[in-house]
Amino acid sequence: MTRHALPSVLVTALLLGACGPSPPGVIVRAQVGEHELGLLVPEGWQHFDNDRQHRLQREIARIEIEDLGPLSLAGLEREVVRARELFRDGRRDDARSVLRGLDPAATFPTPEDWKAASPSWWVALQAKEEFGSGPIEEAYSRLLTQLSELPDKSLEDRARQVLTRFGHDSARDDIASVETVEVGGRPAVLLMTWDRLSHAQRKRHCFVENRGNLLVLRMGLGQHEEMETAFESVVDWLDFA
Amino acid sequence: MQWSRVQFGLLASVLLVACGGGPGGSAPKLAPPEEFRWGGQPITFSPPSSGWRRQRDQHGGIRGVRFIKTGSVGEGIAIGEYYQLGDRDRCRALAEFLEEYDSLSRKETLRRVQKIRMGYMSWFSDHEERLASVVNEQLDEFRNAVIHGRMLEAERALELAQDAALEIRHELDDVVDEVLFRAEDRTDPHFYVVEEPVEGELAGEPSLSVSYTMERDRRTYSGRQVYVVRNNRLFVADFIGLAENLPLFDAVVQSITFPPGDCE
Repeated sequence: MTRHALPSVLVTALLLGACGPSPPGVIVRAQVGEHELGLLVPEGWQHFDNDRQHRLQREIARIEIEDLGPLSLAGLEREVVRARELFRDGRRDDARSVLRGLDPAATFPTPEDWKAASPSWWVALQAKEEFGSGPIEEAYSRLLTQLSELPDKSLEDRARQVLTRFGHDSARDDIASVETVEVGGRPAVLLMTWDRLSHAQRKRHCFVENRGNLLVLRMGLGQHEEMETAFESVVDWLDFA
Repeated sequence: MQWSRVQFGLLASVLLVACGGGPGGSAPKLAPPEEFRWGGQPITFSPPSSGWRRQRDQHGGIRGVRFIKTGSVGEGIAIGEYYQLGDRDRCRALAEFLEEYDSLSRKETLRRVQKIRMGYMSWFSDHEERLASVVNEQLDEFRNAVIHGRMLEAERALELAQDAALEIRHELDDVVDEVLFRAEDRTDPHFYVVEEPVEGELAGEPSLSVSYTMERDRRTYSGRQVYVVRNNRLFVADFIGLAENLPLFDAVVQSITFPPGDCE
């Protein structure tokens, strides 16, 4: 190597180091429900935007990205406060619509907790004109007090609970592994399921908690082996605005 | 350069060794060991490596996994558990019940008793039948004691039921007939030539294996089944395919180990 060549090699190496590895695809800005994401579309994959559900697809292989809503007590509390503000503004229908979009039975830690809170929930949800605003305000207050006093389920417990929405059948499938990690600077759980007898039909899921809402990235149709690298890259490059 | 026969011979030997050939051939290639749990007794083995796709296997009272050679003539390796035997084991159910019964409602308690009772039309051995009747008698005692609020008596009865359940031990000879390969059980028995069963040992337990050949579509298939009992569970390893893949099946079978199971 000549004396002149050395600095240029060093500069190139420094520049490469500063820029970091390049993504194995294209990073797009994607609004998945409430989540504003930097999402990697791996090379050879297509991106479909369907509001709360996005899909990455290559031939039959699919990676689904979905906003599961506020499946935490903190998220539920935030939405109940929002519904109350709408109610106070006289927008009863909008308030109802916010509450209707929630899944309180799945969010409360135990069925007993939900049973205790449900009378207030129904009064707030119905918000009948003949009630006047007093009892409805009271119902919102009781509900918010109950929510603030309860311990939240862990992210792992919530992830396990929602698996059934994606066709997980505990009689047929097992959870093969669970790992608590950070994805895009947010708490996350990586979870793999498989067929209990054969360990085939392997599916990876990544649940990320973002501002009280749960985002899931999961393998849909297709062979696990063919999707694994793409799935891992999408998770690794996920970025929240 | 002119090569002598000796030099050619030496080169051929070196290449054979380098490529894993030579006398005896190369060892079949297996994937890393995997643990499966189909019932109360886990089993670990190394599956075939690439070129075999897997699927769930559930038929004839057996549940497990089947590996099918891709692009072949219908070759398969299956490992499974004969669950009709394993599901009779009450040791875990009784241990859990002993821990929980005092926190259950009376309705749930009686429902669980009914579920744990051992009511079968046939028994694998006299030993099983005798001990099962002790389990059932003690469960009846437990039930009556609960109904009359005699909780100390109830607990004692449950402990005796558990002791009796733990004493039930199935041996391979008692149970293997349920799954043993016989030509006469097949729809076309005249296609099969079945050898005498051979006794052996697998993962420290007595085992039995049956080999056979089957003529179909102008082709000779080789078949082999290996049976082993561990912790009251009967496991069956099954191969059907070309003779050249029998060593692979044997290697999969030899990789079997049993981690501790329920009540061990």
